[in-house]
Amino acid sequence: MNILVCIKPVPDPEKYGELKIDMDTKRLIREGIPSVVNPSDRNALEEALKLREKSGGKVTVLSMAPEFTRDKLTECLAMGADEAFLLSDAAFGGADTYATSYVLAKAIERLGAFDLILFGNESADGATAHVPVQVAEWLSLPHLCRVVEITEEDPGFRVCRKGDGGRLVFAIGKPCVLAVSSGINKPRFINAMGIIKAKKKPLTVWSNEDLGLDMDRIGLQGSPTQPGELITPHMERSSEVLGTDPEEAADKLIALMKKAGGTL
Amino acid sequence: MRKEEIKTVMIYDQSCAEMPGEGFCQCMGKIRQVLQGQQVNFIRLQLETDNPLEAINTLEQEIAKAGPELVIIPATALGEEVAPALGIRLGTGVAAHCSDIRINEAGRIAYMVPAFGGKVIGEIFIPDARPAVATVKPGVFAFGREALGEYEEIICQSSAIQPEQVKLIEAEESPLKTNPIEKADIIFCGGFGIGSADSWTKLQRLAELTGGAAGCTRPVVDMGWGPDEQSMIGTSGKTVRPKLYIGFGISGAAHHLCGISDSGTIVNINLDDSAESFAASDFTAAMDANAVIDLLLEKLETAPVL
Repeated sequence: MNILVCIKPVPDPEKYGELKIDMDTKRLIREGIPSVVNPSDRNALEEALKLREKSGGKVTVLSMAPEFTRDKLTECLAMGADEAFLLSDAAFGGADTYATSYVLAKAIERLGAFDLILFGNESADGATAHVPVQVAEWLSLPHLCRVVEITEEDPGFRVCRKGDGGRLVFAIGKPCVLAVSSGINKPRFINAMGIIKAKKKPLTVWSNEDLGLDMDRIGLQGSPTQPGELITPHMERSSEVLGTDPEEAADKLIALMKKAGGTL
Repeated sequence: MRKEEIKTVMIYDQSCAEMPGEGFCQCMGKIRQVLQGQQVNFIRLQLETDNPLEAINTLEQEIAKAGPELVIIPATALGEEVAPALGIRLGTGVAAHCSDIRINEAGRIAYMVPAFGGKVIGEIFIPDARPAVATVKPGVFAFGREALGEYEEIICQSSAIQPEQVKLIEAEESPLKTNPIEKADIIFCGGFGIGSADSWTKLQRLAELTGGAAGCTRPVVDMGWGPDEQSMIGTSGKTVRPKLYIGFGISGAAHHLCGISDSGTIVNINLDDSAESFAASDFTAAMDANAVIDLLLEKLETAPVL
């Protein structure tokens, strides 16, 4: 099976508490926050590797990201992917999910035919969960999000998804796009052998010169949504001390519960 | 986009029940408030299906017929798949998970969307592409039936014939919660600091004793201490506004605090008094959360009925 996994390097979600907004430029200060492979994208890669172990084939990784994040693709190769492609060009910058998914879809067309295209369900930073669906729509492929189980079943896949009322099982044709939830598996650790092997695996960088896309379809210009100012939500409250020992705290809590109409 | 431009707003209701769903009421209330003073035709588009592809195909057709300038879609599991697909099919912009929709100083409609786990909220504009599409998480806007006003209805029947490419073959319904957290007046919320499945069971017991509900943060779900995502509060879970919220062992990640910021009284109990949850609280207690849980249980189990 020929599988493509799309990944996104994101600022480390563990460090979002440290993010600040520059009051003059109204931009996010990201300095000092390292990039990591988006958490659920690692689940997508793990799922691809498991499917390859079962039925053979090839796992390719694709990302649209600044060149400085290429080590994140090397990390995916070390985890077990066979080949990686990085789409990197200043012209891709400032893209919303519409323009991003367009670039990814055009690159996928160029890469050739895949049986399955996997994504993490959402990125930790923007968290729109748009890109998997939008790539699929550009390519006119069927898609499902919030996937928690994938089984190959002729002629396509049997896919379990979390719906609004419970688990839903679908039969979906091949090729298709699936976005996996983080609960689907536990991504494997990278070992020393993986790191050594990764150095010999192909990692190709494509700029827009390679893709040849119209400038008005990509980047900020190709984006129907435009970002404005950033604000930090105000959540501060008075933080009065409720009590100094558990006994006092518990008594005051019970009083608060009564006030809130608790059936005590 | 300016509000004068909006003549027709379509809001997707995933329920075909005669009475509109809560999500629909919440969105209607919000949009009416934003577009106050305008002559606007509101459409309640109804379609009940578990198949995202069927919803996408139907909405695409209905939007083409009605020609709305703005489409609102609930950010449910289904809606989150429908909205971005419509974005591509209609060649338009989608604002995801709006925490607010407002008119800015320049008179433009700004969709306020959280990013970086709710640490920041960014303005999103959809200047030219139509219809503008926005998704809203259930519970984010606190409007009820009284805010409905007048609207037109389009009822779409789910087809017996499923799309060839994506077919639903099994549906397993999860049991409905007796007291869902979004309706509770008192919430006992457990974070990573409660440390065990045993403590989660105790929070559920406290909820039972007081007519409240037990909620949790992401780590409690991930650690497998008992609750599922239905009990999770935050940007990727539920938005709640109880009269009283009591957090036990919660560090206070932005994505959790975003989900409770409209609560009446917020109390947090945590060993670490530098926890970010403390700054967002009305009352704090720097002590072992489990000790307080045990004392509360002891007192409430034996309390005379008032």
